[in-house]
Amino acid sequence: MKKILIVEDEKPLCEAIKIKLNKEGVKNYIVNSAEEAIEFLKNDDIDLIWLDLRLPKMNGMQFLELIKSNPEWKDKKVVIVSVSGNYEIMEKAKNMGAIDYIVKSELKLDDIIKRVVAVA
Amino acid sequence: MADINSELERLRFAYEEELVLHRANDKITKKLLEEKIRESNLSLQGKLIDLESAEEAMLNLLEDSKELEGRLSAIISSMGEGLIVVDINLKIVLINSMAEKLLEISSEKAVGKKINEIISLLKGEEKVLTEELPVVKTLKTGEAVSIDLEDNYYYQLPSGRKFPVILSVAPLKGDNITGAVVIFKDVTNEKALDESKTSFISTASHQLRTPLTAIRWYTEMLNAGDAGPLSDDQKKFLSEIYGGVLRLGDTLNLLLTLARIEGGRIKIKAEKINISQFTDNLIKELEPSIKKKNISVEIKSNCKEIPDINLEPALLSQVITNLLSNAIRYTNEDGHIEIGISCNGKEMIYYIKDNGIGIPEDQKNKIFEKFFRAENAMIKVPDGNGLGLVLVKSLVELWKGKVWFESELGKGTAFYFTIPI
Repeated sequence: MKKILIVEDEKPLCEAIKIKLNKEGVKNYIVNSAEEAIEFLKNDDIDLIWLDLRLPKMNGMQFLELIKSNPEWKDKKVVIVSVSGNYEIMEKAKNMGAIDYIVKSELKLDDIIKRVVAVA
Repeated sequence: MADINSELERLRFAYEEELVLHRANDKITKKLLEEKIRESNLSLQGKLIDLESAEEAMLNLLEDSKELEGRLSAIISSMGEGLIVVDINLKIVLINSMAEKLLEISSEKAVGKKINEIISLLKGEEKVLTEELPVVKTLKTGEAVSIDLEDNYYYQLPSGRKFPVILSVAPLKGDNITGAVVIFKDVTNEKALDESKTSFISTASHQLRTPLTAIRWYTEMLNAGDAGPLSDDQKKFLSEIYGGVLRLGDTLNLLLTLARIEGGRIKIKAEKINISQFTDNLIKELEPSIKKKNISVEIKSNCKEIPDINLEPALLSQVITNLLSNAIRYTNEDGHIEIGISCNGKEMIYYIKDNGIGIPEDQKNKIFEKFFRAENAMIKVPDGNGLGLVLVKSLVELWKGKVWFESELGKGTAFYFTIPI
């Protein structure tokens, strides 16, 4: 069973994602900050990180940089799922190693779930 | 004896005749001479006057140049920008009072020193290498260089103080390049304002989009039966909520994009585009709504060979998609849309022409105003936001193009825009 770590601080969104991933039969864990995600990664293995960008304290881009510079975590797949995205930030995220960048306000939740699960 | 007497008489006569003639000649010569002298005098007087006026002119010029010098020096010292003049070896030959103030150095100390000894230029956090300095480039190439706010440059002083700067460097040229003028401005306030604008846009964008996303997702989940089966009425109500959320999202996106363009936040990242192929792809994306109204779409071109263009695909796509969606929305069933590309050497004119409802004459002047919608457009398509054409105009102007339209009520509309080749 695929395992996805969701790093998202907006509780209603987390709840919706969880319901949909459960329906898809994907094991999922939710954390609300990058700091919690780091703690989680120290103990558990996952297939993919679903990463929001605007997070309290450390933001998503800083977290991505940290993951990609850590030899142990650098091969973890990361998909950015943010409410907004301009060309520059999308390019930057992809150059830093994110495998996809999804603008969540532009797609149906079902479509986002399908796109993430497909690459997990 | 009589002979001698008559001979003497003849000779005397001849002599007198000669004398008269001689005297007459003398008179003429004298007259001529006098005339000449008078003429020379006049000419000399004229030359003297010329000389005097030349001297006066020289004096005036000298005074003017002194005045000009005085004026220039007053301008330079009262300038709100810092000004430094360097020679070909980067040595400072002139520094104005604003530059003295901003760079915390007196003119006496600065003159004779190399400019890179008293200031460092930073791009963001990184120090610009000497050979990369704008002033060095200008001295080398003879070309002017300018640096704007978004280039993100700073001046750092030996004291460690750092301030954001915009600057322009122009060469001083005689037969060769002899030096350069650097004019710069401390843009701390502009930078702060710029950053607060950016932060406002990004915060507003996040704060508005997050709850919208939650509404959208939960509406989708209710609709999908994730919380149990729904009655027909419930489905109908939900679909109204959903339509409203999507429209709100579109309006928000448009407003934020406009705010970014107006705030100079969008820089064009040009890529080579094959416009015919690009158009085909966009038509394909809109095919469902084209088929739904059974509209025929035709592409025309008068270019011998359509040249590739250099633009950011995302921006061009927004312009064409907006115009094409309008054409589809405001054209009746079984209508016709013509997309045309024409070339005139310098630019490409792209147009989208429909045989739809047209724009009423008295409302044509408002068509590019924010939130404006023509009366007949509001009746035909109630849910527009009046921002699409505003965005089209802003985007086309962003790439220095022009946009205009021709329209006849009840017959159709053609929107044109230009793309530089």
